[in-house]
Amino acid sequence: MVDSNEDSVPLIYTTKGNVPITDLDYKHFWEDGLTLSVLPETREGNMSLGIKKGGQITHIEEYCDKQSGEVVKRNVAVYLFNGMNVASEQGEL
Amino acid sequence: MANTAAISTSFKTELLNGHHAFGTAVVRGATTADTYKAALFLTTATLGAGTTAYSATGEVSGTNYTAGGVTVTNGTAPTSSGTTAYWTPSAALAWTTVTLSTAFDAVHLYNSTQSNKSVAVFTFGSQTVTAGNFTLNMPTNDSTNALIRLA
Repeated sequence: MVDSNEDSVPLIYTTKGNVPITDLDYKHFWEDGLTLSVLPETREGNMSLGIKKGGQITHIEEYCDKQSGEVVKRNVAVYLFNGMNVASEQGEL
Repeated sequence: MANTAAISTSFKTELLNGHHAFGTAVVRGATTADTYKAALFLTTATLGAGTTAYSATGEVSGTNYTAGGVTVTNGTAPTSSGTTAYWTPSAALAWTTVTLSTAFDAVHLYNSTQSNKSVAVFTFGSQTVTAGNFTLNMPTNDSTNALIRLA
């Protein structure tokens, strides 16, 4: 018995219901987090690029309708690098 | 108006009064850990250090989002290293297949066992989600990165 869906294009859930993934444009990008910086020259005179890790970085995936360009699905994942600190203070006696 | 990332001042007091129990070794009416929840808030909300308890005012709404947020997975009891005690949820906070069309930038962590008392507000870059997932991945659970640290 042949599965009628065997060769079909996978569907993906969007605001327009389940849509063939081939009808969508996909892009993903990062926001916030990592900052590129030029580190000071070393004694050997070399400069280098450094990556400074911020408090968080966000990864975003967008699926857009190829016809209209409308974003029909958007996933967001935030990665927290640091929580928050409560600093204790001692009062005077 | 804007949200402000802050540990709620009320929470600090409530810690001293034993209102919160992330772990199980607590002598109270029950020895089980409290249940904590996390709710998302719009950029127009005004949560911050002055927030004392969860309120639906300013909370996001949309397809598949339940008011009050999600239950926080608390599989790792608080511990300490050096002079810092710390705690982090043991799993990411996740909202699946939601549509949140109005921009939001804050998550409110609160104690649903203890009258929804506030723990902390965390902010992130303003976001919307469309028929998708929103995931807040937790930091490393150690004395320098944990979600909540008492130094």
